[in-house]
Amino acid sequence: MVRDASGAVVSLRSLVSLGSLVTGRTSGGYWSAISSKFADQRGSATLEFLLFSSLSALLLSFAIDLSLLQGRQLAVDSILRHGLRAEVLALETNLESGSTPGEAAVAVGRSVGESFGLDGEALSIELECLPSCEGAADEPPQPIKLVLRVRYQEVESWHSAVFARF
Amino acid sequence: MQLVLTAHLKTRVTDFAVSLAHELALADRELADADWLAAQLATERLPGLSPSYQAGLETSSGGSLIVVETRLTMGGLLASLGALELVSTARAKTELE
Repeated sequence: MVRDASGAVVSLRSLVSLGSLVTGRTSGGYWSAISSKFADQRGSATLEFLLFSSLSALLLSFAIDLSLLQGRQLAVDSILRHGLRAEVLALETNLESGSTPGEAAVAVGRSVGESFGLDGEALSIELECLPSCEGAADEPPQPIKLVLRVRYQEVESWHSAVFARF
Repeated sequence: MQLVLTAHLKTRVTDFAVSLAHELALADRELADADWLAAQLATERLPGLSPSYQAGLETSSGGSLIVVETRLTMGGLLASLGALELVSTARAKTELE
């Protein structure tokens, strides 16, 4: 007899079977007990069907959710990339003409979203300029940081770019 | 498995089509330059796969649009999971005429 850490008495026999389980060495009896357990055909087929079909359905729904989420993330990344680029290219013209900042990013972003089959109403595209989107003519030109945020259902992402005006 | 793989590849193919259309539109490139651009984008967005594409100009009341239709046909291991052909179309406004 051996005493373990909690003070309980453990038989040598149980220690040997535990050791063989950990090391993978079999003394014969343990594995044959397991294989005989799985070879036993008794039980309810209905219960087995329900259990395994619900497990499969759970796995399938998880895989579909994951692929949908990944698809939306890729779409949002694409919107950010193209929207921000269009905005940077249009900003100089916008500053001169005084038109609304963010117009180019939203237009391009919506067009990209449409290509990915995203629902236009659920898609939110916002542009933030730091320190400001408007550049006054009398002020010395300063760099503008553009931050574009895109939200679509549970996916939200942002990307920034610096626009230097000379 | 096939469903997930198809959904993933479809998004990648769409990303490729959208990128090609917008790169061509933003840079105001001639459509003749599209081959070089498509090869670069394919290496970046669809590594190891060879998508084919057709680019054209579409004129609507709002102006000209570059239309890119991309087609990806599976081969090898992917084809053994189910013969697939993914097609995506993207449009981008352009100044080209």
